[in-house]
Amino acid sequence: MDHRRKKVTKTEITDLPDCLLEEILSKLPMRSPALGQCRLVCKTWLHLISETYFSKIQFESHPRMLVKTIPETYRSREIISARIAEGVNGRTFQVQRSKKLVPEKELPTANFELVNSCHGLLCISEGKYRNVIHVCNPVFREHITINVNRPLPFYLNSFGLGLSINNDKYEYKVLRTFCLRTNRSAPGYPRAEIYTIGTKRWRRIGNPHSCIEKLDFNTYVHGYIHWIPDQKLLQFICSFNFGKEQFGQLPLPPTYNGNDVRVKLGVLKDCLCVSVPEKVGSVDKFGIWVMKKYGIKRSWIQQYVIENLYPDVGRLKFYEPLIFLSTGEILISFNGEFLACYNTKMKKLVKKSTITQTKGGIHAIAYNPSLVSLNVVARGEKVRALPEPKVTLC
Amino acid sequence: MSSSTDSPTLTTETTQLSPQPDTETAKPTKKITLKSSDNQIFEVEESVAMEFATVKSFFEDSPSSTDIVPLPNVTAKPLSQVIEFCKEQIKFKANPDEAQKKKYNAEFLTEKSDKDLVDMIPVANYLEIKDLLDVLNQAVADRIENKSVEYVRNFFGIDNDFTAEEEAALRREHAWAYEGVDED
Repeated sequence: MDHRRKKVTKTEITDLPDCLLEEILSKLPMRSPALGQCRLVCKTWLHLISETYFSKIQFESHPRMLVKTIPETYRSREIISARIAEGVNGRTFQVQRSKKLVPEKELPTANFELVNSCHGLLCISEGKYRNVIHVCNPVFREHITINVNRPLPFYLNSFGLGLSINNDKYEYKVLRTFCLRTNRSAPGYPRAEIYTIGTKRWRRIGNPHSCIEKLDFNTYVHGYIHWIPDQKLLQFICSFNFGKEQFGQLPLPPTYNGNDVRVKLGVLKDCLCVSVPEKVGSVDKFGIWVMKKYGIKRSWIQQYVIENLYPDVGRLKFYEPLIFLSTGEILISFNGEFLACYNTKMKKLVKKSTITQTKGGIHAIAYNPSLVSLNVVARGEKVRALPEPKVTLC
Repeated sequence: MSSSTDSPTLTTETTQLSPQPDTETAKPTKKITLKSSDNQIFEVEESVAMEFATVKSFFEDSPSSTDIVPLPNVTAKPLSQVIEFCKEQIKFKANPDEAQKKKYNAEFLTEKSDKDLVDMIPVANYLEIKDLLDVLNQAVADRIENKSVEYVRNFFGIDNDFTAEEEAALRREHAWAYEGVDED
């Protein structure tokens, strides 16, 4: 690829100030060739593109999501990256750009599950027992690989990626929760470890109330991740703060009785929100509650009611709110089977999304691309680029 | 309406200077004179000149100033192109037609050389014409998308300041970036 191109006569020196260059670069689409190439232009550009303030101005106007289809076979061929936009002229939401991330090209492995994402970095777990995780920036196709301690099959690992900000020091951390069992059938004791990216080691921290099972679409608010504990009677929401490295509990909405565990978490305008089943007479509804003041039980407000549920109520597990648009529409995941748009004014599902069509299930997580380079934030780790050159052994 | 050369009075002047293209199109238009760094004189209609936030504030700050507005950072060629663009935008302001505006903008941009586009950016920035700056940035980004590093350097006239070793290391690190690159 490195054969000389025909020489082009050089135009005269154009000296654009950095702030103007930055604006031009911010117009480039989130596509690795364009931005990756531009880092090689000269030292100024490399610096500009690595700068965090540049990564802030980009890509924030629309929520974006990653959707993984879960086919019957364990291996997954791709995940879909979709950008959702507000509909114009009364039209419902639009999928503005949909791109496929292909394992072994933009992602390090094909045998993986989506964990979550935080400030542009994506966390995925590999293998059936999740003994390996990868933290990637798909924009640059960079990734690091982290192996867990004591990778025994019955530990049942689960993870969450977060950012800790202490005195202007930014650190990405991975939380691991696992159920310690002496053998496969014994009861489990929840344990936790944390890995600060760049330090190359796991540290034991205090025990969680409950292990993470799977993080919902987006639960990262104010430096905490949140999850619903795996319990028969729900009494609280679990939280973990990446700065303090502490577990916590948050109250559930006041009308919720704890019996029906079809509860999903989300984020609405920087507030934690929760979708809980509410039975009115014999009619099933879901309430979407928002915790206006973080940690305060009295501040739970019912923001929306989702009714006229999809006919097949018997099978219904959950309505997971994903993206809230200012038009009053909510992109939801129905039972983890398909994505659809719910209109809160018309009070019904208005559009089934074509982001992905699969007979199996789907798992969607929030993801906002950024130009945070692992070469910068993961100093000390072996940062690999994808695809790696093939090593031929002979 | 008298031209400003004859009337040194100030207060009425400033009110007239606010951009009101809808009402002013009917009246005889006032001209503003701009002087580029290479000493070329441009006479433009007031409504067009008021599209340039820098010129507008020049009159707001010093209403008594003489008519010629010096633009020390701006050369004649990009300035003439910027004026041409703003003239059209004024028409669209009076008669909004998004489709026509889009078409005009696209044509305006495609017929410009790479150098013309890049040269207009600092001018649009200096004169604070936000809409133009936006479309120029987008047009430049579109032109360098999927191009090789050499192409981009040449496009902006940037010298490669990496040593051969540094560049080789960066290229190894970003080997993937060379996929999907257009031929120059």
